[in-house]
Amino acid sequence: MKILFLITFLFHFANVNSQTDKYESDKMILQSLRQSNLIINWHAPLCIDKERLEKTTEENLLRLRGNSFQIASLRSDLYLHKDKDTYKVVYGSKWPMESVINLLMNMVYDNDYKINLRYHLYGNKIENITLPMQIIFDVFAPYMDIYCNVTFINKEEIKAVLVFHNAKRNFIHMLDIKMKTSQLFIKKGIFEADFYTNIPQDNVKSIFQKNRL
Amino acid sequence: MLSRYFKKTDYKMIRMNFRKILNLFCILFYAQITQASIASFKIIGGIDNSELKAKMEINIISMIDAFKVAADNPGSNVKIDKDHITKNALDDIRKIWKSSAMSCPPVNIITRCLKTSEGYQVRGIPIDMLEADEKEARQELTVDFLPNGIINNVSIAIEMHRYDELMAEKTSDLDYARRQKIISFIEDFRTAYNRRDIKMLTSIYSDKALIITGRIISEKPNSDLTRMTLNNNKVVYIKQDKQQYLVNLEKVFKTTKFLNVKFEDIEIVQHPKYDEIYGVTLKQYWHTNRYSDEGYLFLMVDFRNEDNPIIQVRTWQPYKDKSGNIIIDKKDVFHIGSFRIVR
Repeated sequence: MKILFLITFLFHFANVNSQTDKYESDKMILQSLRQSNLIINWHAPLCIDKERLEKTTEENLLRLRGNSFQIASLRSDLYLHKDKDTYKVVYGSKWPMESVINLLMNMVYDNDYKINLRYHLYGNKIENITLPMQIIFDVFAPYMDIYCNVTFINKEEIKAVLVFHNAKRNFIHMLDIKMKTSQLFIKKGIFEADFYTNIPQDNVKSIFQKNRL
Repeated sequence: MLSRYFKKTDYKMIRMNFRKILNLFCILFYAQITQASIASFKIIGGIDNSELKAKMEINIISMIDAFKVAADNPGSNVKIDKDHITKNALDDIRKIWKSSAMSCPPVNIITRCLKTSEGYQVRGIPIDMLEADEKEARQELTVDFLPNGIINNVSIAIEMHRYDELMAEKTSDLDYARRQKIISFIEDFRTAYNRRDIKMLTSIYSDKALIITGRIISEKPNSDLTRMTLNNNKVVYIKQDKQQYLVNLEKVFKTTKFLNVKFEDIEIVQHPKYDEIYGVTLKQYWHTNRYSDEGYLFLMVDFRNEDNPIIQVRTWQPYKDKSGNIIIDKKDVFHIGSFRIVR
């Protein structure tokens, strides 16, 4: 049943943007997120290529180098630590930033965070939806590449950008995330995010054009 | 005799009192030393139940005391009574202890308590890792409590200095999300034309929007037109306000059966003085059943209200004529420096 549900989801979303415009595609995603109450808990397998495994300045902390997307710091890296002969995905208060990155890269298997989305739809409309964060990954991650960038972290607040990129059709969905640091590592902690979907990238020449003044 | 007896008794009493005073003084002196070498801990907010607050304070002090005892006796294990801490939390401490003994510096810790879904949490308890280098020795503990005030989890908290260093490198990337929001806005804008959504376009254009449309002329321009010459081609620029532009656009929408607007080569530039003002330049392909053209579109987008960005300036300049000759060079396209912002 779950598999059938997943296949329907993937087929549906893989075709978003192919024949529909932004108004229709945004609306379809909104409807699907609203109707999603089943957590499939989809995660990409963890593949450790030792050539991409790098030491960090922290003892015992390794970076599995991923790829960057558009800017150097929007990346698909993962953080691991070696426990005897096995590599484990870092998640805990010892390495909060790395943990947030692993969480946003959908590598934390028991993600029970909730996310309050401010979904910016076509026509300057905003819909507020609260749902388990894992549903976002269940819906988009199976057919899109994930990149994230933690842009700010201190004792009070964490800010991050999470991007899902459809390489085949070259469009993205983006979450501009804010979270109180106190919500991290607690059961059912809450993320806040401004959510923008179906942003085409194939017609973009430069998002950081130099000023001509 | 009596006087002598009294004198003797008096002397004994004085000696006894002196001993008592000396003992009391020793106790007080010892207490002072002890207080100076052990931290104090007080919760000042985040919890209303004073009994529970006192229990949590006692549990933290017991933990700090246990750290001191274990640190003073190398090789010994941290021992904390189960009335203060759960077995899991004690195991966590013992795991940390394997890498380094810990000791809380003799400071007065006053902190707020956070309510969590599983109970309470306090952060920022300073701790010295005795095996670490001097620079790395000072860390902070985060302690979670069960709803009954018993310590349920102990972990090393964020090392802020490391993140400050990392963040400093990333300042230039903070604007990435904003730029993508602009791309999203531009796609909404394009969609509004394709959907002939006048209502949406009315909301997107500022009421004071400046709208300039260039046209290749084949006849002598009248006095209402501003005439310019670019690359030996004659182009006239018509200035319209929002009302005029939208009225004309609505007529086009009504008389056109097929309409397809495409954007390419989108470039975004931030205004050097006003951080919320962006210039967007792109190539626009306009196809209808009656007419097609290619041109450069420049939009000055005001992002002061991120939820409702508005267009202050829209210019359109022809790119190629019907024969395919280039009319306007890229360098001659309007840009953010072409307009002066008056606030």
